Amino acid sequence: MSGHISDNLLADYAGDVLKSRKFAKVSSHLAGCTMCTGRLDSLHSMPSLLASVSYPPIPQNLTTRIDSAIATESAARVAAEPATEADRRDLPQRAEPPRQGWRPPRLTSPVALRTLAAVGAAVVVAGGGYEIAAHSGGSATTNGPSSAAALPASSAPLTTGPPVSYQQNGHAHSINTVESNANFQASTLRRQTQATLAEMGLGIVNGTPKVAGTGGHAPNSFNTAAAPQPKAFTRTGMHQLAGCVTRISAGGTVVMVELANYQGTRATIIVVQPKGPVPAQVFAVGTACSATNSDILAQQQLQLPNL
Amino acid sequence: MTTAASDAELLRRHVDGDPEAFGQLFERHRDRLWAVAIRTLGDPEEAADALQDAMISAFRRAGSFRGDSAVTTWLHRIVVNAALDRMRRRSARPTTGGGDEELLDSLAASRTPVSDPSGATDTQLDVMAALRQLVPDQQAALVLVDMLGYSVADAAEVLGVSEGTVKSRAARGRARLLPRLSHLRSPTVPSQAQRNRSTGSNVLPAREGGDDGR
Repeated sequence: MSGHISDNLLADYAGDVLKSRKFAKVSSHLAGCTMCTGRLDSLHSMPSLLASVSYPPIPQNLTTRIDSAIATESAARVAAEPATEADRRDLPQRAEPPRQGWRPPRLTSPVALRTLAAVGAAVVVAGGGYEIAAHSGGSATTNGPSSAAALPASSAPLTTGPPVSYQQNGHAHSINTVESNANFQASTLRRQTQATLAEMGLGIVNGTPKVAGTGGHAPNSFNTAAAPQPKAFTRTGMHQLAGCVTRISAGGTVVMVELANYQGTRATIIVVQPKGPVPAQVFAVGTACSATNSDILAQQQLQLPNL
Repeated sequence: MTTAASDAELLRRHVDGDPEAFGQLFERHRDRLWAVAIRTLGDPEEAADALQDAMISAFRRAGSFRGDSAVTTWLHRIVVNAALDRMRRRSARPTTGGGDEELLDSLAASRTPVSDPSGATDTQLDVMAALRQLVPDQQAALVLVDMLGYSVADAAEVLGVSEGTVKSRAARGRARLLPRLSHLRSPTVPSQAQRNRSTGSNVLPAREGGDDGR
């Protein structure tokens, strides 16, 4: 490096990482050296040279492969669901853990399907117990279900809400609403709804939920004395809800109306059994739902046993 | 209710058990994450493995994401680290001077080492081969700042180092490339990265602008 500026020093100069004294030294050399000025030009053009190199886009088979890997992870995670509780506590800004739920991830590969099949049986057992536990309300320590480890930090107590009337084929019907702080999710809407139905005992008599503990869950988990609801329904609100339920049910039988949340906003979960041998539907509707406006946030089919 | 969920919301849903949310997050960012992986590693198969490793790692570690950086930054960091891990494990890869020129010559002569055979120009192959001579930290800085046009500040956040360190590593990387690439001309049309840089970054301050700076 006799006389000329080293690559490192010149690059530091070009990259603005030199102290002022060295910077001045390099500057004065450059003023009288065409060779080093030429090298500096090369350094200055290097970013655009590097940026000009084109690389292949992400291969289609790689996106498929990674989608499959993610689906496999999702399926495997379900099998170890209670273990994810530790992770959940790390999440910022979450008022209440939503009830756990599950539905099959999109599967794109045989390996994912095999994984899912392997964990499937465990899911049914663990998931069923868990959801009932999640609905048991109040303290997880009192008379808890068998698997205490599966209990969330806070659950979503289910209480009876005001009755709502609706029209079915020109006749007035009434159904007791249920209320909870549950936060229904797009991916678990069906599962969470089934949990509510399970807690209600699945039986519906003249539109009134029959509290008939079918599983091992305690009848007192469905009681009127649980936590107060954040939003009291006004008469106007109930009138709007009646119109909403009539509109959504569209002549079918209303099985359940739960005043809760959907993906973080207030929403009403409505289960309708349409006429005929077709699956029931669960709707999540927003607060704008009325006799003239559906405001459907989500809709899924639902199998109702023994109705 | 059709507005797209934010990255943070998707990640939160994923941690809450939504089986679809992480896939959506991947779909949203996969092109840029791939761009980082392929430029860092040069080899499509290695880049593919690194990206997959990174996504699975992110899937599992999502619960420890604390929101002190953007989700994209966090994803980039995981991909960069996965790629750097692979670079460091390359046993045959030299990391200091000495035999570099010889290896470079053989790579350049064979014309097969890093790229897809279709459409790669000599210039591209020269650049790719030269990049492999860099130490991983230098290369990561050059990939983010020079090749992809990230601001020094963004690159610093991704790499978890100070902005001064990013500038220093990038400068030393360019110094190392200089003798190998000084014969090449950069394209006349400025790249997207170059245009991005002109608005956001001070990698090459105007006072040193050389011929095009005055």
